[in-house]
Amino acid sequence: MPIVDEHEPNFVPVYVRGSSDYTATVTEKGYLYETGNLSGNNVADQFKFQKAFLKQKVTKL
Amino acid sequence: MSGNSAWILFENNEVFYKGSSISFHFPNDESCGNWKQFKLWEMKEDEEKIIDIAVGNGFTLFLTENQKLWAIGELFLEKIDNSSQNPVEISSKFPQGMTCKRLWANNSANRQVAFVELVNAEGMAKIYSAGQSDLGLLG
Repeated sequence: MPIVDEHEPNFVPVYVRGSSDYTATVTEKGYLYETGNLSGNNVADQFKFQKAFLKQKVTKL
Repeated sequence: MSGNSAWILFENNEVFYKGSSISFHFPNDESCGNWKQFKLWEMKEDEEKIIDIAVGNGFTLFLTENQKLWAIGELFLEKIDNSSQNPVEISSKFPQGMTCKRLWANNSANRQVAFVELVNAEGMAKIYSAGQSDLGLLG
């Protein structure tokens, strides 16, 4: 399933990292999207994501 | 990122992590569901610019601009004979005269293997590995 953010139509991923159940994506505008389940902690329900604005620029994810 | 943890390095040199700690992968072996700041150095004056990080299962590596390589995570550290529950500087394990450019880490659940790209004085790059694997990851 793609991440579709209706509030961010020009979604440009810069970093995407994933493990078996979890994915983190940092976009050009500095937002972090998290989907799935990281080590037993649900970060977002299925087909949804958790979004946060990062105050600093990311060097590596 | 590994199956248990996620790490972010920011341009201002701050590092954050979340997930589950395995064998002192996180400080005090504490797991955390929310992003938490990681301090590699206790004293501000000791800080160096981190230019790369790599995350494996139960361990994380940090490379600084001064060619210091740090590792946290007892599973990996004990396999390179540096067992510790705290971050350890392991740069002395680099072959002499080589400059480290990049880091990678294997993500497999039961194998802790790190890879580094080292460049010699002539500019020739080679990949070196360290850790333990029973599947030939170390070459």
